[in-house]
Amino acid sequence: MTKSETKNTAKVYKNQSYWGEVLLRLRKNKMAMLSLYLLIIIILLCAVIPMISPYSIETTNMKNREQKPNSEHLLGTDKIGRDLFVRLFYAGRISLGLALAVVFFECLIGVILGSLSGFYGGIIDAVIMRLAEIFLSFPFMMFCITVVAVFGNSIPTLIFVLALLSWPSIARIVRGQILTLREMEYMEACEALGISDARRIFKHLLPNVLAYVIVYATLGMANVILTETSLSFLGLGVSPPTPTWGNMIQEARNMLIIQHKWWYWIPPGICIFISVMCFNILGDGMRDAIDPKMKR
Amino acid sequence: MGKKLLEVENLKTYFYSDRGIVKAVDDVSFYVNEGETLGIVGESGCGKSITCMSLVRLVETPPGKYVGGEIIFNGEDMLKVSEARLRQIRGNDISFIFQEPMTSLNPIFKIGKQISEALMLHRGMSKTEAYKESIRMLELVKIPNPERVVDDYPFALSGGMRQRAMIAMALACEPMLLVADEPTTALDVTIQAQVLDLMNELKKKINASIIFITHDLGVISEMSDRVMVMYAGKVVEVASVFDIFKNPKHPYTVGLIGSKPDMTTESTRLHVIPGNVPDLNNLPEGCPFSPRCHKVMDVCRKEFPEEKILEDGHRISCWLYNDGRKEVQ
Amino acid sequence: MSAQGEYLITVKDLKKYFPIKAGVIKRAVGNVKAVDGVSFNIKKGQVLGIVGESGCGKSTLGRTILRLLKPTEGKVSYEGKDVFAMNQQEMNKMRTKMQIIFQDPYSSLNPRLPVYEIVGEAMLQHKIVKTKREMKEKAIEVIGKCGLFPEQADRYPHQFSGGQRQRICIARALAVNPDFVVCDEAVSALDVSIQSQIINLLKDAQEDFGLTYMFISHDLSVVKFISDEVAVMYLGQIVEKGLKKQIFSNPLHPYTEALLSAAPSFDPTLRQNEKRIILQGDIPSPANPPKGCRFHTRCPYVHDVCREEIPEYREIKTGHFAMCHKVNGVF
Repeated sequence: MTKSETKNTAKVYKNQSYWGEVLLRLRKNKMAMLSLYLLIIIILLCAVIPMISPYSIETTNMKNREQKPNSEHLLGTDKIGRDLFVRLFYAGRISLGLALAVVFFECLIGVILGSLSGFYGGIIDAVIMRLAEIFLSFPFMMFCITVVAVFGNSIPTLIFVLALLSWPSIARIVRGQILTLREMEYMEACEALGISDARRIFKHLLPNVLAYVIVYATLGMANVILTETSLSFLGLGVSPPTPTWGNMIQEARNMLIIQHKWWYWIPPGICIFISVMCFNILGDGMRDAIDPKMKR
Repeated sequence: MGKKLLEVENLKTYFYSDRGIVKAVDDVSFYVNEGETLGIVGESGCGKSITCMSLVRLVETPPGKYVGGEIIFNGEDMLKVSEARLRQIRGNDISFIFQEPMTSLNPIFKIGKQISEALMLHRGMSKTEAYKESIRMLELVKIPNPERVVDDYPFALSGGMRQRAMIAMALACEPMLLVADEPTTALDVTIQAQVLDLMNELKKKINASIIFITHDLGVISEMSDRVMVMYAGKVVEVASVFDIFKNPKHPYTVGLIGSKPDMTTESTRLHVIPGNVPDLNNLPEGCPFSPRCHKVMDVCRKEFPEEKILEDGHRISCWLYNDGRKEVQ
Repeated sequence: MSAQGEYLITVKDLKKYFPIKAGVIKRAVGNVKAVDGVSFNIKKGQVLGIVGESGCGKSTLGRTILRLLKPTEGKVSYEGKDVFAMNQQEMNKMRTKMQIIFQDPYSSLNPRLPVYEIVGEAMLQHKIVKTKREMKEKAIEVIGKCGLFPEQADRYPHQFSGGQRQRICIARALAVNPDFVVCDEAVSALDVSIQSQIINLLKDAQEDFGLTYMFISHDLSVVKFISDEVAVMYLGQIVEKGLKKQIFSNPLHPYTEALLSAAPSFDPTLRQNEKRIILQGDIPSPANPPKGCRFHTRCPYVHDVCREEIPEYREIKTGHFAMCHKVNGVF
C-alpha cells in the first residue's frame, strides 16, 4: 500500500490534546483568567493569614472591642474584641471549604447515578430519575430548616443537606451528556471492536462528561456560598463561634451596626461578592472554552 | 446570449479571526451571460458558496469583509448599492436556492405564505392574487396537488418536494439570475434526477441565467453551459462544459475528473490527487494547488499565475500555459 | 484465492424492525421495516456492494449483521457459525473478525484520545498485544499501512482532515486483523479528490490482507469500481443481485434501470441523446411500504398484479437474481 499518496502537507502542529485546546481557549478569555487569579489570591490569603496572624480567632479582649480598623487590627475588632481580619480569612476557609465539600459530594453522587442512568437506561434510569425529581421538588429552605431542626446545624449536617438537594441537577446533566455521547459513532465503533462496558464508561464516556461536570461544579461553588449565607441569615448556618462569611454578615441585622460598624459586615460581604462573581465568571468561561461549537 | 448579465471583477472576500485571515474568495473574476447556466465546481473550502453569497452581500460582516473588487449586475455594482436597493434585488432579480430545504424554508409558515411573501413584496400583488400565483408556481414545479400543498407546512413534504417548493419560491418573481447552491446534494439519486430534469425544463421557460454550484462533476456536466473550477478561493479554469470534460487543462481539473470512477470504463486503480484539501488558514505561497500538483514547477511555489485566455475561449490560471511570462491583457 | 463455494458470510431472511411507539403508555403501533427479509452470501475475499437510496435499509443491514443491532428475525452465519446464537465470550472473539467503518469521520473518533490509543485500544482489549508500549508500536505500524506517519500517532483527531480521519478509522478496523469489514458509506462524506485516495486504500487493503467487504453506498460509480457482486436494495428488500457486470450492463429490475439512468454522466454530449428514466413520486416510507411489490408506486411498467402480489425473488441467470413480476414473466 502506497504512502506516497498522503504527503503530509499540513504544518506540524504542536501536540494539542483536547484539554490543551480547552486551556488555550480559556486563557484567551481575560475575564475568566482574572477571576481565576482573584480566586487563587483569596484562597491563598485564607490559607496563610490565620497561620501568620498574631491573633487567634477566639481570643477575646474586652478592652479592645469594637475598634475601627487600625494598624494593630487591620479590620478592627468585634463586640467581644476578637480580631476581625483573622476571623475573615478563617471564615473564608470554612465557607470555601464547605462549598468544596458540598460540590464534591454532589458531583460524586450525581456523576455515579447520572452515568448509571444514562448508560443502562430502562428501569435503572426510571428509578434514578424519579428519585432526582423527588429531591428537586423539595422546597429548599423548608427541607433545610427541617433537617437542621432535627439533626442540628453542625458542618457535616450542612454538607449532607446541601449535597442531597443538589445532586439531581448534576445527575441530569451527566445523564443528558451520556445519552448524547452514547449515540456518537465512536461509541458504536467501540462496541464493534468489542471494548468492554467498563472501559467504554470510564475511558470514553466519562472523560467527555467530566468537562461539563467541572463547569457545573465551579458554578455550584458560587451557589453553595450564597446558600450558606442565606441559611446563616436564618440562623441555620454554621453556628458561632466558628466564623463563616455568612454568619459574619448577619451581624448586619441591626441598623446601628449597619450605620456605624461597617467593618463588621462589609468585608465579609465583599468576599462573598467577589468569590461568587469569580466562580460564576470562571464557570461561564470554562463552559465557553469547552463548547465544541467553537471548533472548526 | 452574448450580453453580460453579471460581471465579477477581482472579488475579494476575506474572513478575519484571531487565527488569522482566511481568504475565502481571493481575486475571483468571472461573468455570466443572459440565459446561460454557469456551473461552479470545487471541493470544500474552495470559496464557491461565499462567492455567490457575496453577489448580494449575504456574507456576515463581521467576521467577513468585502475587501475588494466589483460585482456588476445589470449595470449596478452590488458591492456599492444601498441596503434598500439590495433588498429590492434579493428575491426579485437575484434568487437563491440552497442545499438544505428544511433549514431554508421557515418551518412555522405554510408553503403558500412563503411564496406569497415574495410576490406581495416585489410584485405588489394582493394577498389573493399572490395566493393564486403561488398555486400556479407550485404547478410549474410539478408538485402534485398544489392546491393542498400551498397550505402545508414544510415538514409535511419530502426532501424532493421541499426542494421543488424552494424552486417555486425562487422563481416566483421571475428573477434574472438564479443561484442554486448545491440544490441536489442532499437528495437521493432518483429524486435528484427528477429535480434536475425539472430545472432543465424550467430553464427553457423562464429564460433566467443560472449559477449552479456543486462539487458533483456529473451534475455539472448535465446542467451547465460553461464551467468554472475553483480551488482554495481562486479560479483555476473556465471553459465550456464540453471543453472542460473533453479537454481539461488545469492539473486540478484533470485530477478531479480522473478521480471519479467512471461508469463507462473499467479501471483497476483510481487516479489520485495526493495530499489534503487545503487549509485556508495556512495556504502556501504561490499557487495553492502546488503542494499536490504532479506537474509543479518552481515558479508555482512563488507566484499565482495570471489568467490566460486560450484561442477557444478556454481560460486557465496555470504556469504550464503561461510560459512563465506575465502578460498585460 | 478462495475455495470454490466457500462462503464467509451467509445471511438468511434477515429482518430488522423498529417499533413505532405512540400514546401515553408507548405501545407499539407499527413497525419501521428497515430490513425485511434479506438473504445473500458473500464468498471469502469478495466484495459485495450494496446500493440503494434513503430508507432502503442498507445501513441497518450492515449494523445488524455485525450484531450492533438486535435482529428481529433471521440468521447470519460466519464461517458456518450462527452469529446471533453466540454467547458473550464467543461474540467477543467474533468482534475481531468482523469490523465496520462508518460514514462520518468526525463523530467516529473519540476527540479525547490520541490516535495510537484509538487505533490500539482494541488490540489491548483482545490481548493481541500485552503492554501499552507494544500497543503503540503496533498501532504505528498499522497507521503507517494506512498512509499516515509515525509522528502523527501522538496527535488528536481534531488535528486531522476528513480524509486522514477516515484513514485512522480504517487503521482502527484493520488493527484487530478482521476477515470481514462492512464499509458503511465510508467515502460518502469526503471530498471527491480525497475519496479516490481512500477507495484505493480500501482496495489495497482488501488485496493485501485478503479481506471480504460489504461495501454500502448510494454512489453507483464507487460501488462499480470496488465490488465483485452488487445487490440493489429498495425499502428493506434486495430487488436485484448479481455480478457487477450483470448489474451494470444488463440490469433486470426496473428500479436498477432507473438508478443507473439517474446517475449523471460525465459526458455532456450524452445528455441530449440519452433518454433518461425519471421515476415519478417520492420514496415511500419504510414504516408503511406499499402492498404487493414495493416498487409498484413508481414503476414505469406497473401492472395490476404488481399492486397485489409480492414478486418472487428468482435466479434469472446464473448468479443474477431479481424480484419482479415483469422479469419473472408474469405479464
